[in-house]
Amino acid sequence: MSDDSPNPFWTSPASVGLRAVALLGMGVAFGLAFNQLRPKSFAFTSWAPPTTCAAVGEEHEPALRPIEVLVPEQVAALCGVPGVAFADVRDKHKYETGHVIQAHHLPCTASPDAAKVAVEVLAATNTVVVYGETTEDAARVADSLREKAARPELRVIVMSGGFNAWNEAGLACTSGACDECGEAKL
Amino acid sequence: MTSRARIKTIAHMLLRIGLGGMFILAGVLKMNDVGAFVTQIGNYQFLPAWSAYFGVVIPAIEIVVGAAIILSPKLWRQAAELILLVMLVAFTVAVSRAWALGINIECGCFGTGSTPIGPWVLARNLSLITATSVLLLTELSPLRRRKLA
Repeated sequence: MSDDSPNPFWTSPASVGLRAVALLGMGVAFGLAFNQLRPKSFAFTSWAPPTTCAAVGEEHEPALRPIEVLVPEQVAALCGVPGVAFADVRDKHKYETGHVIQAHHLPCTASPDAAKVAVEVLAATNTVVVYGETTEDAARVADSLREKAARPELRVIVMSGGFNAWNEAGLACTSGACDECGEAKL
Repeated sequence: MTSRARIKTIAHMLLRIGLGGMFILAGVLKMNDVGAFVTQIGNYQFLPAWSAYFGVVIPAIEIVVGAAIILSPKLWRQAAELILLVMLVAFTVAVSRAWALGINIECGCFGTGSTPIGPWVLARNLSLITATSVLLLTELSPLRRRKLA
């Protein structure tokens, strides 16, 4: 394409628009082709626009499930279900007096090491029901447990009303020594 | 050619090389990490559904346009300068919008590690718009004269 083209159309300002479209087309084609040819091509289908501002280059951790709060009757339906574990966050004395059958003892005062052991013990589970004296003390441990486990698939449930609500509802419980308390202090 | 005309020609050439080179560099840096650039565009929260496509094609367009401004004949150069002007205006609108909304993000102008958006980025964009407009008008003026004749 010469600058001294005899055709007046090709030297008119209007033709600049056509050339601009052609250049844009070249750019788009180059971009798409380059993306396809590069070893780690960008996948349009797996990309979703961010809902919040994301730092570039940051590895995004998968989102953890929010903690659920269920009433004792709902929690009772999970008893005996494979992969479901119960954690009692009350002190050792109260645990020994009465607790949900097969509940692990995981008091709020557990040391970081004990909490780590608890996470390992609970690694085989996909649902953890946490209860305490009140909803609030269970929620604190549940939140810590959820973050330490850092498993997006882990369902963490807090039983509302604590063990008293469970007991008053006449749901199954047992008493006895805390076998776990002597060793791992779960 | 008079010395004045020679200076104008050299200044014009330097402006072309400067603008074209800068856009080639910007395009290459963005293409180096397309995923990061797509995230940066997404952060603007402006036409979010199109962010991925913009992220893939904008760097390539910048390289093509930058190369055309430096290397191509005048008629293609004018088209490249027109695209550059439109892109710069669009970038400036996007930066102004994000800044006005208080979105604290990187501008993404040169890929990862770019300057956060703010007055400096806006001032730089306005300078580039001015430089591109000057380039385009000086390139178009012979055509205008030819059309009027």
